[in-house]
Formats: sequence, structure tokens, C-alpha cells
Amino acid sequence: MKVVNFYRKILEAYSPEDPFSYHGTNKMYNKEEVSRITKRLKWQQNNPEALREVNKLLASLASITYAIYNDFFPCLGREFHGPYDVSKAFGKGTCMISRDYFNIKPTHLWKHCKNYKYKSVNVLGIYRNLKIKFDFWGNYISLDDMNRKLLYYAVIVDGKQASTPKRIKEISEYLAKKTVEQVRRVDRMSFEQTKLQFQKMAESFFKEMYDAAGIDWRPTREMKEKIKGKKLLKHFTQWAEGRIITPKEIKRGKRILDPRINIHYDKKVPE
Amino acid sequence: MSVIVKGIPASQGKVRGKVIIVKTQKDYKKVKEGDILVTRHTDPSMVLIMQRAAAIVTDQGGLTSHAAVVSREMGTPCIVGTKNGTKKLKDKQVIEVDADKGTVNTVG
Repeated sequence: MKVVNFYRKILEAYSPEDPFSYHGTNKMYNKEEVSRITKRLKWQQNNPEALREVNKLLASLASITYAIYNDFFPCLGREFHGPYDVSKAFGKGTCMISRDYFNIKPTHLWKHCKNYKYKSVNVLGIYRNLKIKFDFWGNYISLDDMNRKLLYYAVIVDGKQASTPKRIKEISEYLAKKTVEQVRRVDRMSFEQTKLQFQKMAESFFKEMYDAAGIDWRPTREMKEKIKGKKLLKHFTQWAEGRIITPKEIKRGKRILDPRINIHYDKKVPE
Repeated sequence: MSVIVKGIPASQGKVRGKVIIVKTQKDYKKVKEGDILVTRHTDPSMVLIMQRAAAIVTDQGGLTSHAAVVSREMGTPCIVGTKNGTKKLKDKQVIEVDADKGTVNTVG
């Protein structure tokens, strides 16, 4: 229980309003921060040309993140958060969503990343009357056409705003190119190398906490020896092959995980 | 119009287009702007063809799969977890992807 409560405190510190996304939100900014952001940025109006490039950028960001981290998790370089009420700045019914790719240059995991041009990209959007829900894994689901409801956007790259569709396209194309290179790099790795990389990635989840405590976060020699020469567990091998989950496993999954989370199993999109 | 395959609607929208079945990286160059990308599952190396596709249909995956997440980011209609889309759909077949309902339908 001590450990569970410790994790609970971490979540409450990060997202005090709705730490488990029970109410469908994931709020990392407080009201003052939201006000500062809405005032500081030069918001660009949504238009077809810009939207096309922003959407491609989002696809490139999702892809490079997946290529580097092999999954999408808040501890793995990206956090989606909101919706923040911005009606004072933008009118009734408006909200802000942040797609914050805060670390697409994880040199602690991949040495070659030190040559990457960009470390962080945050794509902020102002929407009107958007129905959206966040789950506790940091994903969002919207039954609305987000493109149509987008009023303004802002793209922040390493703290500087990228204002034009041309600049956004340049960043997007660069990230797409790096994505393909990264996938090829991973494909060339041996099974043993892949296992060690995954182990390092898993240990990196709490890197910041370990660094603050002055503890080496990297897997120990004993941990590496433990997985050396071993095959994957049968269940995970099947998962990797994309096996469709059975009803029995859905029931077990819901018992272990949050039973409200239907989106990972049911065929319907939640209301 | 009749339903050819069904799956999980991952990113909403409805669109018509020509199917391109992608099985290996050699098939990537076949996907042109506006085609319907049909594949077992997507991976990050497909980012450029996913950006070209008018819709994406996969055999595997759920709402948090790579195809689902990237499609939602782009606002591209996407149906995942069809189980047999790559078998039931044919290359260059013109279809309608109804990602609101999670169905791929014949046209005409």
C-alpha cells in the first residue's frame, strides 16, 4: 500500500484536479499557466493549408515517438493533456488541448539521438464545443470532427514558436525521415540487443526520480544477466504477434486494470 | 452497398477510394495520395504513406494501436481490428470506408 500511495501522490502532484482521469480530463497546467499560455502565444487561425501541415506534423510526431519508444505512454516522451477552459480568452465553449511531445531526443536511450535537431514539440489547439475524453493512459477519444472544431493552433518547438505552414512542414518532413531511419535501426538489432534496449527503456520510466535521488537508473549487471539468452514469455510472444484478445482475457484485464476502461476491448467508442 | 469487412472505428469519417494492400515495404511506393491503405498493422516506417492515405484499414490492433493513434492525430478515417481486411479486400478495388460505423462497404 505504501508504494501504491506513493504513486498516487505523484499523480496528484502532476494532475491534482483529476489524477486518475476519472472525469475524462488530464490537466497538467493550472489556471495561471493556462492564462499565461493563451496570452503569450501568437495563435494561428485554422485554415486548410495550415491544418494539412499541422496534421502531418502530428502524424510525424506520433511516429517518431513510437519508433524511439516502441509505444505511447506519458513517461515515454509525450503527454496529451486538457481540456482547459479558455472561454475568457477565446469565447464561450472554447477549450485548449496540448499534445506535448516533450522528449523526442532521448539520448539516455539512444546515443544517436544527440544529432537530432529537435527535442520538444508542443502542438496546442483551441477548439469550440469539443467533446473529448482522456483516459488514465493519456490517450484521448473524441466523437467530434476535431479538424472542423479547431479554431486556432500554436506549434512550439524547443521553446520557440513555429508560425508558418512552411516551417511546420519542414519539421514534419525531418521527423518523418528520422522515423524511417529509426525503424530500420531497430530492425537491424538482434533479439538480445532488443531485449536489453527494452529493459533499459522500462527502467527509464522513473529516471527523473532516480536522478533527483542520486541513484543510477540504468539496469544493473544482475538485471541484464537475468534476461540474457532467455526467450520471451509465451503470453507476450503472442501479444507481439497481434493476437486478438479473448473474452476471458478481457474479463481478467478489467479485474486487474480499471474496469471502466472499455475502449481497449469493446468495439464501441465510448460516449 | 454491402459490408465487406467490419472492425473497430478508431478515427471517424467516411471516404471513398481505391484499395492498396500493403504487405511489405516494397508495397509502400504503390500508395498514392487519396488511396485507401489496407494492411495487417501499421508501424512508424509507414508514416509517409499514412499521410498520403485517405483512410486506413488494418487487420489487427485496437483503439490505442499505432494506426489508431496516428490516424486520430491526422483526422484520417481509420478502422482497426478487422481481422481479415487484407484478405477480403482486393488491390485497386474501389470501396467506401465508413469509420463512423466501422464498416468497409462496396460502392455502387
